[in-house]
Amino acid sequence: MKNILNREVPFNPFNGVHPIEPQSFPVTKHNTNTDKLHSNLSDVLNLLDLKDGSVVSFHHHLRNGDDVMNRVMLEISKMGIKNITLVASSIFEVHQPLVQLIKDKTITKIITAYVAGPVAQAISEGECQEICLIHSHGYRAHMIASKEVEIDVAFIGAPCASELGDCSGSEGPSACGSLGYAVADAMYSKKVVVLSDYIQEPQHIQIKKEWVDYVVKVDRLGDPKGIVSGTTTITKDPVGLQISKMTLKVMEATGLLKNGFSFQTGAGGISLAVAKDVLTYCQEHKIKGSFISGGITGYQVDLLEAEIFEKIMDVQCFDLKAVKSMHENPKHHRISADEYAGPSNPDNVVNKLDIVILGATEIDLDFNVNVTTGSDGTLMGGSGGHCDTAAGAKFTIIVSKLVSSRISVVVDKVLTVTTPYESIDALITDRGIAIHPRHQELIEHLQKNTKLPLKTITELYEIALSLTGKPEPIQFEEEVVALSLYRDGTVLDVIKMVKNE
Amino acid sequence: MIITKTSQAGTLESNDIVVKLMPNPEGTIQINLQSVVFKQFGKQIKALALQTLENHGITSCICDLDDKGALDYVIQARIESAIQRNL
Amino acid sequence: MNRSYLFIPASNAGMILSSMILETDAIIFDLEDGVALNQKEAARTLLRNGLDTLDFLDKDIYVRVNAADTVFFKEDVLLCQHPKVHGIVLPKADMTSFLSLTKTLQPMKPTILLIESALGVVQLPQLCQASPHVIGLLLGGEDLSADFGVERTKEGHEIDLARKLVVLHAKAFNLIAIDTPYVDIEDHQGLKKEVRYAASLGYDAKVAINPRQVESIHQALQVDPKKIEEALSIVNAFEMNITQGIGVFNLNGKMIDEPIYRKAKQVVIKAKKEGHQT
Repeated sequence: MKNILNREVPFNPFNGVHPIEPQSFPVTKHNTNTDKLHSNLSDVLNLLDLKDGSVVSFHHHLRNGDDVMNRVMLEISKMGIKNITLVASSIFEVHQPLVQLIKDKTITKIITAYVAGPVAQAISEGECQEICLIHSHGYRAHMIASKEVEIDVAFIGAPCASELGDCSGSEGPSACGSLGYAVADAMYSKKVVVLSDYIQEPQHIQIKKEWVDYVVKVDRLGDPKGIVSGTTTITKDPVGLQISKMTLKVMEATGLLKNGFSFQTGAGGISLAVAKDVLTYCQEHKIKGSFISGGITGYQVDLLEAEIFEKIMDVQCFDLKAVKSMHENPKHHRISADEYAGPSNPDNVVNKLDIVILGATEIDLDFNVNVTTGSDGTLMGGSGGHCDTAAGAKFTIIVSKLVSSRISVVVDKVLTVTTPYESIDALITDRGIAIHPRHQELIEHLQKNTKLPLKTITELYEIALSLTGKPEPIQFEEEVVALSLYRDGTVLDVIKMVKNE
Repeated sequence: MIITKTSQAGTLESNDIVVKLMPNPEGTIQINLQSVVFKQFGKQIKALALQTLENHGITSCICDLDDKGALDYVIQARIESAIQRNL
Repeated sequence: MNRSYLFIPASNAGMILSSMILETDAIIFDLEDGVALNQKEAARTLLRNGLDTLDFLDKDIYVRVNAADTVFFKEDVLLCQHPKVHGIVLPKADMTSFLSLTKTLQPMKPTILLIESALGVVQLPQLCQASPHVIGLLLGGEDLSADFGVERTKEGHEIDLARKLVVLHAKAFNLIAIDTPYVDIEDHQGLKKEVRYAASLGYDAKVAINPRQVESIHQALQVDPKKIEEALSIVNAFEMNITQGIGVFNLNGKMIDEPIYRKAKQVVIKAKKEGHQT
């Protein structure tokens, strides 16, 4: 069947961006046991009633230094268990050992918000038995709380955990900051196993002991160098810096850059340059914002410490500066995925956002965005918080070079829809700016009062084509390997198996 | 013209292409392409390389291309330079 | 009026591709010192192909050719006949090299002379009058100090005389004066200081050797809006007074006469050209 974006999907077709009905899900778990601490993971696994077809979950706050998911899944596979559904909030290069578990059918389905590296490659090549689901961060919280996906066991790597299971992510030798993507897992899964290399009473509790069933002491949670490997730095490329300057001018023209404004950027090099330029702008114009949200790096911490913003709403930390700030600065708040972007949570942070700056792998002539597959059709990303923030923010800006190594960001039709056009307001590239036609007044204002290179998205497409030539369409097999879901659970698009020459 | 020795031009930086020309005992033009955009532009790059070599009167060579997303005019320039260095 | 001239090595495919979208007012594609010896032919080929294919929008395109006594000179100069090349930058400019240029490039194109030798400095009067195609003088501090056999310093006393002579001749013969590159790419404060110093001597523009320098150059060349306001009040007051036959008067404690009025008028005209609201 075709959905409203004219994409062929198997069921539950995406039907446009609509307000989502508020729902709340009471937590029923209340574990008052005192005998939770263990030192042997496989002992605990044997206590858990894991069997063929179980659903297990992991968070990704240990990023590319994570050892928890690999270690636990390998132990589960040694037990001879098959057909596990893996609900991992994100999967990175470090999770390469899982490829073998996919091939031998220990894992037969993956539900995630982001996947890169060998696991992504394996899914794209059709190695995973069942169709995988790629969803947004916000939807994951809802999906778990509502029991649309019922998790049998949640495994939570906690940099600091008490013997009874109170956990913090911002303390301990493997400190990684917020545990925002583990909260729903802890609250709603049938069983919760915390793994930690630092058993101590935490100063700040983000996972509560009454949600936790077991605490396993391990020698290490992961590689600290890899744990803060989400670090990106501001782009040094003068082209990227140009894009950032143009972005500030467009932000100014929206009228949203005033006292009390709220702001979020992605962690890409150009997006972070925008954060830095916002700092300079606010200092010059004496503007005080309200909050910054999302995945946090040292650059957003700078904005807080310069007192440009009153607080940070942090769902995940990308570097040590962010981790330290979270631990020490009471204005740097840790929030859960639901508090951040839960679609059925009307008070969520993204609904209060004024401006969000995001990247894109592809954007098409309708302004639909793809951050799920690479330009060659292989899975390489996911929604992450993209469609959540784009839906919530008053004004959504995509920043990108128009052409990089002969690949254009503007295409005729995106290979995979991650975020629908209704949530996208502007595209800012080095070769021109395309504002969505729904903002006629803004377009006229910019044309009259600035020298910015305004273009239609079709003009940008033609400029790109004139440089690169027309690319051959990417060939796929017929078989669907994954679905791209919107934050209400409807299906935006399908991802097919890549064809290998 | 038959290529009888080895020559090279270009760099491995983004947006550039390394062109290596070598003699081909089989007497034809053989093009080997590695490219970061092979799926999207592989065919086009090979066709352009062939045409550029022919336009310069080359009838026999092995042409190895290691492409990092070079646009057409860069490919042409690098092939021309590799030929220059071969004379 | 171009405030910045950015050097882009013609051997770099990626930089040629992004050149037209960088903030600089003018581009100098470099075939000379920015390109290794064994890459010079390839750079010329790459630049020619780029000129054929790319759209450089509204930027003035110059090409710095290799010196007149090198094997590369002739072909470099012939490349400058390309319709998209606005003008040529002649390195090691003196009467001998300039003559070689006029013999090779026919018809001539707007030429910026790179003054980077003692002889070049001494021959400034002849060079400035040698041809109506000479439109500008670019001070080359690095090679100049090497020619003198002295150390090049940040503070620049060793090139100060040459710097002043170059701008003096530019003013005498109505040419553009472009100041020497600032080599410390990370030091933006030092760059701005040098730009302001050169501007105070009469320089119109600065060469950038890295795209990140351009913003600092433009900032340092910005006219203080207070100065524009002050000039405007002088102009308005003078023009009003002169209708009543008063040619000298006191404005806010300052004596205003015709020379001061003319200078203020220049500031106002320049400001209007640069888009300031007056």
